[in-house]
Parts: sequence; structure tokens; C-alpha cells
Amino acid sequence: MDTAPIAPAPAAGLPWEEPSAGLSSIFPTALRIIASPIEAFAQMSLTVDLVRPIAYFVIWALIGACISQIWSFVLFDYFLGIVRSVAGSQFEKFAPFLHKPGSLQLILGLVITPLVALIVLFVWTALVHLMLTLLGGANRGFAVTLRVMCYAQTTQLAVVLPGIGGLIAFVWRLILEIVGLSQAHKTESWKAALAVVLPLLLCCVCLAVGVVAFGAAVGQALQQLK
Amino acid sequence: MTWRPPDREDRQVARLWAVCAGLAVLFRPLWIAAAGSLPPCLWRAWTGWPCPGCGTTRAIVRLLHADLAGALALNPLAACAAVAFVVGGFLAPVWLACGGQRPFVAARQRPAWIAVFAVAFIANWSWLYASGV
Repeated sequence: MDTAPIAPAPAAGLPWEEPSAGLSSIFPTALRIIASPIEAFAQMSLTVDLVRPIAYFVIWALIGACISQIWSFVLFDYFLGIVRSVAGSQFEKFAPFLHKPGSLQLILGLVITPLVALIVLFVWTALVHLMLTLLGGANRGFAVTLRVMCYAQTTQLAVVLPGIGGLIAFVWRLILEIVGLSQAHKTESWKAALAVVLPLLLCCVCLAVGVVAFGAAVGQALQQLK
Repeated sequence: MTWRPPDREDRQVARLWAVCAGLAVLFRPLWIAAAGSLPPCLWRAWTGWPCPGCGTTRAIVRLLHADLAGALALNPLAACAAVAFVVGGFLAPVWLACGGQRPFVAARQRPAWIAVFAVAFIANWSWLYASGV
């Protein structure tokens, strides 16, 4: 479901979208999105084949999965210690969910994670685009929202930070999505922000509460360190 | 709902939808295994009230066991959305290939759609509260 599409604006495009772009152009593209997201999303091509942004998304999902798997394998015992100290007497409730990944799990994780990420991408884009449409901010089609979501995957870079990298990537991603939607759909920032935040609040209250709970737990742990 | 002829991007989106729906069905064992290790709803644990998404995981597991009635009883909106996602994913490319048009919401229709979604959302949440999911 989209509002009637308006003609795509001519754009210079990102390095990743150039016809001769190779795999190495992923880094200049990421750098542009990180350094100046407003300009990057304003430059994003709305006409280049959709396979390009989707490939960009899958590559970053794979990079993120590789780094996360390495951290979860190398630092498992350390993270377990943190969870035990933060959870205290509640640790026994979490214990069944905490297992050190084996080599087979690591390999399967690398294969499956980008594919699962693709499903999540589609479902999340549909939710956000639905919200944007209802708010009257979807001035362009579903494909434009999908492009923004694909390039927002650049935030997987944050998982190089062990432990809090995932949380930083999540929050950073929301910010990039808001910036990207407002630029690509030529809509007000508040509509883009509501379109991104409302599905989290309305459909995934648990997730929102979980993020707050995690933040509170980290805060408490930091207090104890002092 | 208004209809218009599809363009190249619409066909690409339909193909992506089909791939995602296919993967979702292919990963059936993974979803069932993962559902068993998900922690319980934090909102419900804290407040005692169901959140709008309560029952979604169990509803999807029921759907994966082909129990549509059981899924609808647990979270009707999530069950309908999941069915629409998979069925729509397989039908969309075929529909466009057969010359079908694609839907979009015109500005004048937006208030009606907002009302439809608001009523569906509130009715679903009320059901979750009343049924004690």
C-alpha cells in the first residue's frame, strides 16, 4: 500500500550505486552514510536497480553476523560473568538461554543470519511504510522505504564494540532510518520519527521495555563499579 | 483502495516478498526451535497486562503446525498478518505477472484506513485482555 508515487528526483547516487561499482565501494558508501547521513540519503538514487541496496544490506548483515559470532565465542565467559553480576538472584531464570556457541552453531549462524535478516528487513519495512502511509508521509513508494532500510544497515559497523555494540547499532539504526525516510520521502522529520517508533511501541512493547531494562541494568552495573 | 499498473520496482518488490515468504516457510524448524528459547513478555511480567504483541510467538508456532484456529485464538491480528505475509508473498508475483494492478492508498482514503487499523488494533488488544492470553 502506497500513496500515489511522485516522480523520483534525479540524484547523483551513492558510490555503491554507480554502474561500475565493485565490492570495494561499500566502504566509501558506508563512510558517507556515517559522516553525513542527510546528504547521503538525499543523494541516494531512487531509480537504480533494487538489487544493489539489497546486496548492500546482505553484505552488512553478514559482516555484522561474523563480528557478533566472533565476540560471542571469544567473550562468552566474560559476558556470562556480567549477566550473573547484573541479574543477581534472577540469574537462574536466564541461565537456560545462555549457551556457548559451538563451531557448527557459528557456521550455521553465518549462513542463516543474513537470510533471517532479509525476512526481518521486509517485515520491518512493511510496518514502517504502513505507518508512514497512515501518517501521510509516504510521498514515494514502498521501494524507497526499502532502500532507506537497506542503507541503514551500515550501523552493523557498531557491533565491532563488544557487548554494547548491538544496542548502539539498534539506536543508531533508528536515527538513520528517521533521517533517511525524511530525506527520501521528502516528508517532515516528526512523521518519519513516528513511523519508525510507533511500530516498536504498538507492536513490540516488550522490545521497547527490554531495551529500557537493559539500559537500566547497565546503569546499575556502572553504579556498582563506582 | 485505489489501483494502478505496476512498474519495474513493484515487480522487484513482489519477487523479494516471494523470496522472504519462501524463506519463512523454509525456516519452519528454526522458528519452532527459537520460539522455545525466547524469554517471556517483560511487559506482562511487570504489569500483569498483555502487551499488543502478546501471544504472537505462540500464534506463529500454531500456524507452523497448521493450526489456524489455535493461532487466531492466541493473537488474531498477528495470525492474520502472518498468513497475509506468506500467502501474499506467493501470490503477489503471480498476480503481477498475470497483468494484475497494485493497490495504493490515496490521500482522501487515509482517514478511513487509519480508522480501520485503529479499530483492528484496539479490538485485538481487547481480545488478548479478555481471553487472558
